[in-house]
Amino acid sequence: MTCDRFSPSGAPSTRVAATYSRACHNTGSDAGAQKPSESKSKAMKASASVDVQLPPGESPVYVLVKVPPGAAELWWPNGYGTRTLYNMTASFLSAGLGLRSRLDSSSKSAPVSGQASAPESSVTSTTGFRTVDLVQEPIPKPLVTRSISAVMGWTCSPSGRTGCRRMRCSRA
Amino acid sequence: MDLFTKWANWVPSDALQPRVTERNVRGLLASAAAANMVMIRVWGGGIYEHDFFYDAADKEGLLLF
Repeated sequence: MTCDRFSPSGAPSTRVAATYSRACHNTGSDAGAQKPSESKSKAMKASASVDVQLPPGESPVYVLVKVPPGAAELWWPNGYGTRTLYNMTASFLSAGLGLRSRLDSSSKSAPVSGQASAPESSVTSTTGFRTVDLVQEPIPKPLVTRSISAVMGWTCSPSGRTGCRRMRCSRA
Repeated sequence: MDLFTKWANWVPSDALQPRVTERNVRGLLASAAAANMVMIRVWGGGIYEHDFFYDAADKEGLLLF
């Protein structure tokens, strides 16, 4: 995040906040797929904010958001469950007279004071939660001779496809 | 849990990039998911794909490598 444009006069108090919120819940069409979790759907909210000083030219700001265990529903690959995604929004709020106030100064409805109410700037991206490990152990020979394995009741055959990788999904 | 990640290759969906459309890319990835693909290999000789490519893979449940 480049903050030069916000570089204020005096000693400003600036706040950067990051929040997670549920983006969408793709129930998919995984009929017969293993249900990874029967926990009911719940909105996940996790957020954190830090007050920072922004000397001109120093733009990186790091905010650590801790998502409590079990707070987020996991993202599951195709055929294994639902693809739950979350919006992660990082907001930049300035306690000084902000850009928005300056831009909106001609508007009657613009905030007059410099309170850190509306974000000066924000960016949202979509993310999911999932831990994936690549397993590079050899595939047992009996499974190789059967082309590809039947693990977890799932089968595929090498019908012109490039290949398979053996992966292991674990709880985040 | 172990899973087999049945995968397929991805190359730029058109040699002329301006002709690539989000609708077409999403359709191709949806087709891969419908064919029970779990993972997509993005060919290294291709391009850094558009954001909507990764977004579509997220929604289709496709791992990428």
